[in-house]
Amino acid sequence: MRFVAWLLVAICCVLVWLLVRSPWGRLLRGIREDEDAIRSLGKNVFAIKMQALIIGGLFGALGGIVYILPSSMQPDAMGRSLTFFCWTALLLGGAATVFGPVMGAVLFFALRIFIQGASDALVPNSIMNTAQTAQFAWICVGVALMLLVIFRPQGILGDKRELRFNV
Amino acid sequence: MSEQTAVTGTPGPLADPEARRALMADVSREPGSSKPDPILEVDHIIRNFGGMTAVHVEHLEVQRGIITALIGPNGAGKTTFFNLITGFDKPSSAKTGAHWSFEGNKLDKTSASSVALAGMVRTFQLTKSLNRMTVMDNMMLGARGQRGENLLTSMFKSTWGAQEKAIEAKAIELLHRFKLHTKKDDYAGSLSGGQRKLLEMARALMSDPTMIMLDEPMAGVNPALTQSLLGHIQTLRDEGMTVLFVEHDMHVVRHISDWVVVMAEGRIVAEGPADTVMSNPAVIDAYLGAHHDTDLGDDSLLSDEALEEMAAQVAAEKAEREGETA
Repeated sequence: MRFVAWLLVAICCVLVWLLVRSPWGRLLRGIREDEDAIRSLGKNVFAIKMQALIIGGLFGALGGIVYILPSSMQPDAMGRSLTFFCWTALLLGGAATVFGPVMGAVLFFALRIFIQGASDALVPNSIMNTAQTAQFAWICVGVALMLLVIFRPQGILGDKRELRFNV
Repeated sequence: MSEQTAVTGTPGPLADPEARRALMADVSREPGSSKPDPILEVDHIIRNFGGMTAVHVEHLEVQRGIITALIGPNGAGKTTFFNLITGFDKPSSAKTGAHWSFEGNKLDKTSASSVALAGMVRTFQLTKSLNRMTVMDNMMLGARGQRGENLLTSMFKSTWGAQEKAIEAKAIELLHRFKLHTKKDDYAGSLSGGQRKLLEMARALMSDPTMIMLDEPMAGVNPALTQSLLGHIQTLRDEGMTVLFVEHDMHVVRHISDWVVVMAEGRIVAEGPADTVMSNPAVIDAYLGAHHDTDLGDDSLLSDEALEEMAAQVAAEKAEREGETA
């Protein structure tokens, strides 16, 4: 199962990479910068935006399939917090990169579990009990996210040059 | 100017100023006069913003192969008119007879992108360079009919690799011409305002337009760069492209335009070659006001007769104007 999921991630990464390096990806970036400018060059902005939306939805659907396969699903698991986890993972890895979101997601979940486990094992229960370590891990994640946005807004893999110019 | 700029293309038949003068000599100097070979024809375009009529153009023809300047005081509706004919805005008269055609193709209902595909490419008054992309990427976006921009074929480099190389070569050639080739891997956001103007013009040229529409190309550009921009525009004309541009600077207009269209309060008030149109009373009225030569500081004007005379004059002009619109 795990192998299938990672295979799927790899396939999706390759797919996105193929799209991004192509003129289609360039066009999409152009639309991000200025729709009217692209329109004035004779491109169908609406169609490209629609295609991008569909592709995004497709990846979301694939993620959902993998998420549900090994276990069962209950509506609460898809709460607001999951949205913010996704954003955090995205920011951590670096927006507008291919490998960034994957790495961000891995780091985000691995680090949180590592902090929780480490503090549970190392810190005596008189200072922090098991329930508190879970909260402590979330605090660490929150602080890390703040530091990231302040000191490295482009994420781990992002290109800082892209943030230098205001659109 | 054009002597200093390297001419890369072959000069068209209208590269000779005498030929252009002869071509336009027989054209009547009336607003909305017909041209020998119009590339763009506009009929009955009205655009209202609330109760204000920003543009009301009954008829306009733009001659092929020459530089036409569209001038007028602030708020005359020049940019709105540009937006209307390039599909970025819809005329209020869309259902009541607004009609314009480019090279014989009707453009009444087409979108901005189809207008550009028809061969009429515009630039913007506030430069729209794509700041977070490199100069080269900016240029490559301009090319038309790229197979790699189709979602399905974009994943297979073999389908668009060769075309991409050709486009890149063309982009580099154009960048050389506009002296931006040293900047080709820099982000467009790091260029100066004038360089962005050049980049926008070069990007528009990537699509091989038959007509290029420049919205205030000289706004915010230093005099030295103005000279080189003018040179570039003239070179385009000499290669056979039609140029329509909006400009405020009279010296610029006088220097390069072959035909001048003057707009005021949304209407076209005068047309003609640069030197004659400047002395047209309607143009002077539009720019300076109809009573610009009356000295309001002169105390003798405060006599009752003089005031009555002026009031009568104003009333007569008002009646005349209402007679025109009715």
